[in-house]
Amino acid sequence: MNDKIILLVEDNPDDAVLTLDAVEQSELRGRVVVVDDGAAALEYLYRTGAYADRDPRYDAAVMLLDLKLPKVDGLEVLRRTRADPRTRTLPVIVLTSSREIRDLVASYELGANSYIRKPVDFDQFIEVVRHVGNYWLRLNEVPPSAFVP
Amino acid sequence: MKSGESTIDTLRAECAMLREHLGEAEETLRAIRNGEVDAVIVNGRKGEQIYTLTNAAEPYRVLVEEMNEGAATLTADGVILYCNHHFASLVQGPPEHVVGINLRWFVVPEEQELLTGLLRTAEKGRATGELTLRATAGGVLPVKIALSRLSTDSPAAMCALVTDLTERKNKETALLNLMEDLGESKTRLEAANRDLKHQIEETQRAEEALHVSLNRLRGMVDANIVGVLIATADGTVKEANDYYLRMIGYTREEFEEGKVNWRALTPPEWLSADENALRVLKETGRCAPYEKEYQRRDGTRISAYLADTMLPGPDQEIAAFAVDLTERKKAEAAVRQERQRFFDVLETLPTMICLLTPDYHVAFANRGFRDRFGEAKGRLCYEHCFGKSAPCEFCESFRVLQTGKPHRWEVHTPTGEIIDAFDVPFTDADGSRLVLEMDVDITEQRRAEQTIRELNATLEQRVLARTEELRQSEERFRAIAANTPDHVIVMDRDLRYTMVVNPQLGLTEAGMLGKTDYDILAKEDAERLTAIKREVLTTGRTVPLDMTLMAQTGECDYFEGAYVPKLDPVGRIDGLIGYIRNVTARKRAELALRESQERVELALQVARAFAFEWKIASDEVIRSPHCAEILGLVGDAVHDTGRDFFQRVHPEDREQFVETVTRLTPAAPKYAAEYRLVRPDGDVVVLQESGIATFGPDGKLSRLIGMTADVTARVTAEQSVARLNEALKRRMTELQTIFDTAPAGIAIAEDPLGNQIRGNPAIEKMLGLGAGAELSLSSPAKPAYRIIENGREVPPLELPMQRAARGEVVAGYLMNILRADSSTVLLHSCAAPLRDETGKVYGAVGVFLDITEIKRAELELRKMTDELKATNQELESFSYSISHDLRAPLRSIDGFSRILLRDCAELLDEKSRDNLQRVRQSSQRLGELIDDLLELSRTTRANLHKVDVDLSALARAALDDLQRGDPARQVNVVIEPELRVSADAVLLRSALDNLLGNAWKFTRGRTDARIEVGAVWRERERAFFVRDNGVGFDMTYAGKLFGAFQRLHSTREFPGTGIGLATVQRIVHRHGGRIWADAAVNAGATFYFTLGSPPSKP
Repeated sequence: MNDKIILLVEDNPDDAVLTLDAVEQSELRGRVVVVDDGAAALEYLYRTGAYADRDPRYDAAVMLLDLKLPKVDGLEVLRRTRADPRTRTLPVIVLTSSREIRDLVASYELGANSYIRKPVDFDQFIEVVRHVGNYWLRLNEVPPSAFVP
Repeated sequence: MKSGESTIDTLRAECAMLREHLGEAEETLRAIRNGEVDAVIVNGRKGEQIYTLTNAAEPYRVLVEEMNEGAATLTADGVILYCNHHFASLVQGPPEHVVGINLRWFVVPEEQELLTGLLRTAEKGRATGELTLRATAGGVLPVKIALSRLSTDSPAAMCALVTDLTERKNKETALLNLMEDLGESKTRLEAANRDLKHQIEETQRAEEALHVSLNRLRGMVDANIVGVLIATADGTVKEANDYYLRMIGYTREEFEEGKVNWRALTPPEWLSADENALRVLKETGRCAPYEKEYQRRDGTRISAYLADTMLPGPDQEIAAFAVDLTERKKAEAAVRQERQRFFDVLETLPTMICLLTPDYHVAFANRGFRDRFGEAKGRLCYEHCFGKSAPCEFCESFRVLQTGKPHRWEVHTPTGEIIDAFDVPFTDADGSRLVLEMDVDITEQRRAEQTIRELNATLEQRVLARTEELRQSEERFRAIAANTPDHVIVMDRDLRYTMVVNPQLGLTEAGMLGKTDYDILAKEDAERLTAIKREVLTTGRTVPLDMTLMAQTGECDYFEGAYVPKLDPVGRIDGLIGYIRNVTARKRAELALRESQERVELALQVARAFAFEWKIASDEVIRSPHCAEILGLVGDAVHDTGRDFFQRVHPEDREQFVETVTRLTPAAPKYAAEYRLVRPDGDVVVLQESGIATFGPDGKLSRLIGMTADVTARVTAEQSVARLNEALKRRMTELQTIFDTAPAGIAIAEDPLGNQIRGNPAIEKMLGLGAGAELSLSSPAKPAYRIIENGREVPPLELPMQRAARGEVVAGYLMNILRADSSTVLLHSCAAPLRDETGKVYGAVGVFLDITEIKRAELELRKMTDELKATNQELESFSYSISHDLRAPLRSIDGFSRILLRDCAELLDEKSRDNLQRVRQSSQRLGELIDDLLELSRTTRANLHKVDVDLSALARAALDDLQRGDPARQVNVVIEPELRVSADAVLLRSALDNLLGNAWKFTRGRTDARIEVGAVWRERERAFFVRDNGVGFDMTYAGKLFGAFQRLHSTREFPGTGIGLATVQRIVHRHGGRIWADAAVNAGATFYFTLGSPPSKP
């Protein structure tokens, strides 16, 4: 099992499908786990609730995070991730439709590694996903402790 | 020797015999001493022994014999072998008695042991001590004794030097006493007799001893009573004792043998004395003691008394014995000085003084004497003074030598002079007896006395004659004085009245005669007057009198006059005469006049006025002193003429001035005028003048007299009051106009309670009242309106006007007015107290604004604002929704269309694929539209953060971005550097992005594409521009340019949403600026914009 886990937090099923397609199209060596709200994302990351029995080997290597989410919104997820030592170094890419500067500023302030606005043009989106995957899954080096739950 | 039991007679016989022996012994000793004996034959136990005496030690003997100290030689156990006279006198016996006696005998029993000790010590060298010698009559004599051991080869070998430490007893008396004591004398005589032979033996031995060695004498020498020097004839010093060394101030080391030649100790002028003494010594073997001086080591000199002697031996040594004479010399010098001083005094005395020797020689003559008789010293007095050959027969000078008492006598000299001579016996320092004579020439004095006697006789006769003249003169004087109204007095030298005419101050002639001023006048006046009179007497001058005098009765008057000296017949001042006039009445009048003048002047000064007199004929003007200040005249300018004064009258007033004066007539001589005068300093003063004219016999104006006052201040004050009044009137009119026409209500309360308030038309209208209505709600005629607050009527005391009338300043008080017609108005009011000049409140003023409409508008505005806020919030969330939610479906549309095109490409025909492609394009365009709309919305909502921004840099960055997005494009970019503005950096970047994006877009087809960014000045405003040389546009449509979604080109030609320029315009507007464009089709476009805030020109 060499594929790294990409945790996609996306409530819009269309976007989820399109993202999966884009990952597939970009020929990344990674598997995408999709959760559709912030609470599920946190459960997955910390193996609680529905994901209590999750195999630790499936820890996320990178998280693609939408901001507008049911239950726990994206900024809150980001805040908790950064507050928890287990996930403090987890690369978090904010992937959102919002072009509001306040969202952008807030994301970076909370410790997002990147902020990407989903383009309307799907070809461009595939390009974006490929770039993100290439960078965060292949080029980026993370400290080993990041994978110690 | 007989025993003590012998009879007196026997004893006497023995005594006589002993005396005879004693006499023989004495004679022998004397002979020995004097060197008359060459040998002594002693008949003793050893048979006849002959002792010869040589002359060798004779000089020493002489010296020792003559010494003022007791000297003796002793055997070791104290027997006296030899002594000099002085020693003998100390032990109170002749030397011949002393020699052979043990020294112990002379020492009191208590000190025998002491003596023994001294003798023992001396055997080893030297001893000194004090002993008490027995004296006659049980008395004692304390002495100092110095014992020195003599040479060892002498049998009896020490010498003693004894110094008397007490008053010297009378030797003779002591001897007499001794002789009288017969019992004792007998014993002593026996002892003397017994010892005599022994003594002779010892004496001879002593003489031998003396002969044997000089060392013995050295011992004595070293006893330091005299200075001793031993030297060779060539002057080499062999030895010197301590005394000598002390005397000449050298140390022994310096004086070691041979180092100092004693001639060097002698100053050159004394060398001959030494040599002379040495010569005599060599020739005769004797030396007469002589005086000389020594040069001490420190250069000072001392006098010494010196005796030289040759020492025996081959060396021809010479011994010199020296005694320090310094003290004696000093004493002699002092005597000489004293004598000189005495003669100095005599020299300077102003009389003739001379000293005459008994043989008539002049020993001394002082200056006075020499002046009269010439240098006379050493001459015979009679010969020198009077040219006589024998002593003067009349001379009494030398009597004093016989009588020893002073003598005074008068000399009538042969030359006719008379001299008062005073002689005293005088003994000079050398003891010679002289006559000291002091002479005073009294010839002239005698002559003058004679003349005076003769003159006196003549004078008496003249006095008699003049006295008669005087008597007559005085009678004449009295006759004149008696008839004068003035006060005449005559006083004698004692300042007593001897004559009084017309006595004053209530005094009488009888009461004054023989009296002094102190008897009749008050003390202070008497003193002052006496001082004046004394001056007359002492100086002989006439002294004026000008003062008040008060009699002792208290009566007081003012007097003028003079005192003149009164002379006696020979012209001497023997009193004075006073001519006095009582001027009291005149003085009082003068004083009164002066006082009244001063009063007038003071009054004029206070009134800033002066009096004047103008004499027409001479044109002279006289003014009172104060005029200078008023007319601004300095110094002599005060004394001017009428013409001068007329020149100073203000030109505009001159005509009237002349007219006033010319109109004067004898019938109407008075005038009053007011005119201006230009002072020399340029100031203009207003003068008010009133005067009266006098006319001459010919009816012509002769003078003007009057008073002129400076009324400038009054006139100026009047003028300013008039001006103030005028200004006040205008101000009142202005205020009234304001009051009547102001749209604001104005109310004035003119009583401190605010019970009476009147208002302007505006307030009357606001309150719904008629013109002139009373406004105060607390007045009896209560006006028809009410003030309501929270549904109740407000009490008048709480209303602004009444509060202000109590001193409070009220601002912003709102009043709801319920008018009589039930309509309401809202008034905004301010009120303030009115105060008089003392600060006391006398009323109040209030200003009222009808804010009913304003309030209504305000409420509406607030409502609208609230609505707007709500709308804004809605818009905010709307924008957010668009941002998120509107785009999501578009992505799905595009995404799935794309997937469809990819996955089902084979299933779709060309047209379907094209349709799907169109779906995708539309969704993407809609995405762009949404983005641009959001941007436009954001420019509206965003807060403006103005900072200092470099527009040039922003434009550069935007163009760089464009170039990166389209690397193939070649565009010539020109950006004016350093365009600094105050703007929101984010919004300004957005505007530039749009403008430059357009320029980039519309120059796309150009090969020489050029984009320019810069700034120009338009109407004191800086306008920035973005210019391109693109396709441009038709200015006909310029109006549509900045509307949203307005496009001048087709999307196919140039893609775009048509929102960009709308966004730019909104950004510019938000900065307070404006934007406009200038373009033509295919000729490029220029967009200008300003950024509002007043720019600073670089």
